[in-house]
Amino acid sequence: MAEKIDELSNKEKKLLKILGENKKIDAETLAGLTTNLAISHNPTRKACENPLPKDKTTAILSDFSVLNESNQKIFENLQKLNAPTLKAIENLQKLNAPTLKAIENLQKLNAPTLKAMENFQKLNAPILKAMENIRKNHLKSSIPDIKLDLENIISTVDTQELTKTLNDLSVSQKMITDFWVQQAHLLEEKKIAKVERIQTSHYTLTDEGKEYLNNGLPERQLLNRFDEKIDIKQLKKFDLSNVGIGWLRKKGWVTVKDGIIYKLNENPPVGTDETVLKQINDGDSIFDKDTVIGLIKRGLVKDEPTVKNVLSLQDHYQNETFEELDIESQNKIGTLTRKQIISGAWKNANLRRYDVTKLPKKAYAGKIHPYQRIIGEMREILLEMGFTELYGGIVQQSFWNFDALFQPQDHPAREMQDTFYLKETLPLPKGYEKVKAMHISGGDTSSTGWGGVWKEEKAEQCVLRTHTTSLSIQYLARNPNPPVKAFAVGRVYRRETIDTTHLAEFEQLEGIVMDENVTFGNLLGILREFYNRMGFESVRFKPSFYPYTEPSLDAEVYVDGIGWIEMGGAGVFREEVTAPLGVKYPVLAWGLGVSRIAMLRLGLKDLRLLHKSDVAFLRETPSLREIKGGI
Amino acid sequence: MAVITLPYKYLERLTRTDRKTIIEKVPLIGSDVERIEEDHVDVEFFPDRPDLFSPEGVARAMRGYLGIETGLPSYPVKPSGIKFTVDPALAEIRPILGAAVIRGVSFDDESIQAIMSLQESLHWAVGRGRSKVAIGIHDMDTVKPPFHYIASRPSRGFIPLDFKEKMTMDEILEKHPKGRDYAKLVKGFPLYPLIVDDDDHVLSFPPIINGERTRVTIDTKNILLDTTGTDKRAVSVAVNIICTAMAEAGATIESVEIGGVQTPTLAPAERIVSVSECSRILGVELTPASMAGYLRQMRFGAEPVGADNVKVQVPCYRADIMHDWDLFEDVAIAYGYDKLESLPPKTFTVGKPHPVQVNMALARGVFTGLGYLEVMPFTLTNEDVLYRRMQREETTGVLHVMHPISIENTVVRTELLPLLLEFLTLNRHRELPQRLFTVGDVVLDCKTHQQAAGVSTHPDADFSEAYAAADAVLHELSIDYTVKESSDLAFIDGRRADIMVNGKKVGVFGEIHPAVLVAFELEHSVAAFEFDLRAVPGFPVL
Repeated sequence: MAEKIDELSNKEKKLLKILGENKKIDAETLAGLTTNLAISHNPTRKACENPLPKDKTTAILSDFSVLNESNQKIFENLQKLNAPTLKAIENLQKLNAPTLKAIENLQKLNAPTLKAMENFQKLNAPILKAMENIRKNHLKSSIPDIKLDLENIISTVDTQELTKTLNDLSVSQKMITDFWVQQAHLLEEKKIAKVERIQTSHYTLTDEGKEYLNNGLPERQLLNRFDEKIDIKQLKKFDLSNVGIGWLRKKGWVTVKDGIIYKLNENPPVGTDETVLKQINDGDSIFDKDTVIGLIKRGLVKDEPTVKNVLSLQDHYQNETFEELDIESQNKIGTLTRKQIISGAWKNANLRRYDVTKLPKKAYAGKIHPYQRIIGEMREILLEMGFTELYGGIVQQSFWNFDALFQPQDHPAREMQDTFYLKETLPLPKGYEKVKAMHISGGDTSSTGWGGVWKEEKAEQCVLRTHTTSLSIQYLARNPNPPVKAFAVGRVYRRETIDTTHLAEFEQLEGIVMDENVTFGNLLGILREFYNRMGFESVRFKPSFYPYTEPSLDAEVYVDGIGWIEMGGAGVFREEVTAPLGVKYPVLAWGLGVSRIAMLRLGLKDLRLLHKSDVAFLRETPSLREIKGGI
Repeated sequence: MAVITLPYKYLERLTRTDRKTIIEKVPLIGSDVERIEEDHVDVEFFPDRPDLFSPEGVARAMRGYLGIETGLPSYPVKPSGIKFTVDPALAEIRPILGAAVIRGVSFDDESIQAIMSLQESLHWAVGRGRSKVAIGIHDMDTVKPPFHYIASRPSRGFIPLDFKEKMTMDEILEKHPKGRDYAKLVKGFPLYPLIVDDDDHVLSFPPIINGERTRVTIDTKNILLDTTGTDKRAVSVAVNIICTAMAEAGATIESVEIGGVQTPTLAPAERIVSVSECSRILGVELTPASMAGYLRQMRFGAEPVGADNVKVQVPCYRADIMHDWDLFEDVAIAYGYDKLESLPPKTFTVGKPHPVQVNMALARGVFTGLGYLEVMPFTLTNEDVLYRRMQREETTGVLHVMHPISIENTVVRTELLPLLLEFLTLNRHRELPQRLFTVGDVVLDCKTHQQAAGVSTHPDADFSEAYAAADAVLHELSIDYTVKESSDLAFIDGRRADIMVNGKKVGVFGEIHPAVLVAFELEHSVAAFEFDLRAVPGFPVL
C-alpha cells in the first residue's frame, strides 16, 4: 500500500494530503483556495492586509506548482494589475465561489448598466434585483460586505479591465477545478480516492411563471371570468383560454356538458402548484418536488443546477491523514537568494527539487538565417580554395549585364518579359566600341560576330542584374592580367512569375579563373572540388549551352533518394567576351543557384519561405545540421 | 528550349541503330531526355543547335557520334530553273528572301508532323518569333512559276490557311488567330509582304500565314519553300536546315534563282583551326589526325593540314559555328566530357573575403549576441510598405522597375525597417517576444549600399529597449555616434532619435508609432532601429 502511494505524482500526493486533512472537499472550493493563494502570492505585496489562514491545506497548496502554464500566465498578468484592481480582486476573492458566479452575472449586464454601476447611487432595478438574488441564494452574514466591496470595486476599477480580469479568473477557476477533478480521478483509478459529482438544483421562475404569480394561473383567471356556467365558445374568446380550459377540467374545477361549462367549485382553494410558485419566488428551499417537476413541464419554473465535485478518500483510507507523506512544500526554496548564499543559510536550506522529466520552457537563440549559413559555407569553401570575393551593385548597365557577355541585342533573355528594366541609363564605358565591333563582325578574332546592328541606347539601359556574371566581367576588365581567381554570391533578378519553385530574385554563386595555362579540364576539376567539399560525392558533367561560354557544360551531382540533379552551368568565356577586355588567356567561369541547395538541405517545398519565413521555422531549424551526401 | 518529339521507328530507320542506344547516348551530344513514351521520346535541345530540331537532324548527328556514318554529309543541289522576283518596295518592310524546291517527298503522318514542328521551332529559335525569319512550305504542284515576292495593298484578299472564305490582309490581322499573334510585325507599313505565283494566286502572306491553296498534305510530292526575313544569315540558316532535313528524309533539293543568284547552295563553310590551341583550351593532348577524327564524328569535314592545323568544312546547317572555339566544344563532346581529366589549376592564390561581407558578418554576430533572429526579406517591395504604411515621404532616387510582375514588387528597397515590420505582420501568431534583424543591400539612385535594422516586439517593448540595442550594435561596430531628437513620423514623437555621425544622420531608433503599427496590423509595441553600415569606420563604398 505504501509502495502504491510512493509512486504517486507530486500533484496526486498533494491532493492526497489535503484529503487526509479534510476528508471531504469539493473541487470548486479547492480551486477557489488555489486561485486565492496564487493571487496573494505577489512578492511585492508581502504586507498583504489580509493574511491568508495558515492551515495545512493552504500550506500544501501555496507553492503553485499545481498551476498549469496558462494559469500561471493569467496570474502573472493579474499580479501586474494596478493596486486598486488588485485590491478589488482581493475583495472578490473573499467571496465564495457562488458569489463569484453572481458577480460574473453582473458583469454580463449590458454596457449602459455597467456605466450606471459606476455611480452606485444611480443603481437601477436590475442590479438591485441581482443583489437580492445574491443575498437570497448564497449569502448570509457577508452580504453587507459584498455590497461594500462591489461599491469599492465599481468606483475604483476600470470596468473593462475588471471584466477581462474576471473572465480570466473564471476561466482559470474552471481550469483549476478541472485539474483537481482530474487528479482525483487518477487517485480513483488507483483506488485511493473517489469523486462524487453532486448536482444541486436551483429553481427560479420563468417570465411566464412570474406573470402567473402576480395575476394567478390561467385556470384561476378564467374561472373568475364567469358565474356558474358559460358557453365554451364564449369562454374561448378570452385569452389564456387555450391553456386554461384544459387545466380547469384537469383540476376538476369545472365540468362540460353539451358545450356548456359548469363551475363545480365557486372558489377552489389555493393549490400546491400555486404555493410552490410563491415559495420558489420567495427563495424558500423546502417544497414539494413533484409539484416543481409539474411546474417545470408547464414552463413556469426553470432549473439552473450547480455542480459540485466532492472529493474524498475511499473507505479503506478514511482514517489515514498522510501527514508524513513526503512532498514538496512551501518551505522548500525555489531561487537561492544572495543573502542565503553569503550568510551560509544555504547549508540548511531545503532546496526545492525540480522534476527533470518535465520539458523546459522554450528559450530561443538569436541566430543566423539557415539560408545565410549555407551561403556562408559556400563562401568559406571558395575562400579556402584561394578565391577573391567580389561584391557589387544590384543595378547594372545592360552593357555589363549583356553586351560585354556577347549576348546579342535581340536575345530573348533581354526582352522585357524576362528582365527587370529601369528607366535609368548610364553612359557607356570607355572602349565600348570594341564590344560593339565584336557583336557586329567578330572584331579581330576568328569569330563572325552576330551581324546586324548594335545600338548604343540598348546597352545604356539599366537593369536589375540578371546574373552575378556582370560583376565578374567588370572585375576582369579591371584586372586583365593573370592570375585571376574570383567569386561572388549575390542576389540576381529575373522577371519570373513567383511560385513555389520560382522567385523573381534569388542568390547566385559565380566564380571565374583566368590564368595562362588553365583548361576546360581544370574547370571540371574546380567544380568537382567545390561540390565534393559541399558534401556531394558524385559529380558528372555533360554538354550544355550558354551564350557567353564555349565549350559549355552542366554539372550534375548525385543525391541519395533523388538521383542526379543539375546543379549549375559552366564554361570557358568565349573569346568574343574576353578579347575586347584585353584578356589574353582562357577564363573559366561557372555559376550555380544557391537556393536549389538550400531547398534540398532545409527540406523546403516552397522557395518563398527563405525570404518570407515563418519565425517558428527559423527557431526550430538548428544552427548545426548533419549533412549527409550534400543535403 | 525546344522539345523535339522523336518517333522511334522513324528515328531508328534514319539512324540505323536501336532506340536504346539513341536514348542512352543522345544526352552526350548536349540534350536532356524529357519523356520516354511508348512510341516516341521527347528530347530537349539547346537553342544554339536548331539543326537538331528534327528527327532527321538528330539522326544525322547520332550517326556521326556513334560512328555509323562520319564526316561531312553531302547535299547535291541542281537548279530547278524556277525564278523568284523580289519587289524593291520591300526593302524597308521585309527585304530578305530565301527559297528552294524540294522534290520527291513522301510524307506520312509522322514526317509531316516533324516538318511542321521543325518550322515552328525555327520560328522561335532562329526567327525570334518570326521577326527575323518566317518560313512557308507549299505544295508546289498547285501553283505556277515564276513566283513573285511583292509589296501589296492591305486590302488585297485571299483565302488563308484553315479558312474557307476570302479575307483581306487587314481582316486576317484582325480575325485569323495567326494574324492576331503576329500583326505587330507588319502593322504600320503601308504595304504588306505577299508571295504570289505567275497567275497571281497567293502562296503566302509572310510572316503571318500561308494561303489555303498551297496547303501541304500527305499526298504532296513537291514542295516550294519560302523564307522571308530581315536578317540574311538567319534566313539562309533556316533554308539550309529545312532543306538538309528533307534531303535526309530522301528528297532532292533544287535551287531557285533570286536576283540572278542560284540559292541555296547547301555548301559548307571552311575554317582552318589550330590543334595546339584546341589542346590548350580543352586540356587534352591532340594531334591533327585525332582532332580531325573527332570533328568528323561530329559531322564536320576535317583534314589534317601541316603540323598544327586542321582544315574544317562546316556543314551549312551548323549556324552555331561562329568561332574556332565553337569547334573545340564539338571536339570535347566527341572526346567525351567524362574522359576529360578534371584537376584543379595549380596556380597558387590566396583567398580574400570582400570587406562588405566581412563587415556584414560582424554586424550579424552582434545582433545574434543580443538574441536577435536573422531574416532575409526580398529586396523588391512596394511604395505602400516602404512609405505609406510608415507615414514617411517617398525619398528621391527610388528605383521603380518598368514592368513589375505585381503591385507587390514595384520598387527596390531603400530601407530595411519596413520589411521587418512586414515580417512581424507575417508572424503575428507566433510566440512573443520576437526580435528580428536583417543586414543587406538597399539601393538609392542606382547605387547599392548596405544597412542594418532590428525590431523587437512584445508588450513591454519601448524606446529604452531600442536605444539599448542600437547602442550595443553601434558600439560593437566602433561607430562613434551622438543622438538628437528625430522627426521621423514612423516613430512616436518624444520616443525617437536620429543617430548622428560627424553631424550627418546615419540612422534612427525609437518606438514605432501606433498608427504605423495599425497599418501593419500589429498589436504590440515595437522597438526598432536602422542604420547605414557606411557609418562603420573604413566601410568600403562600392
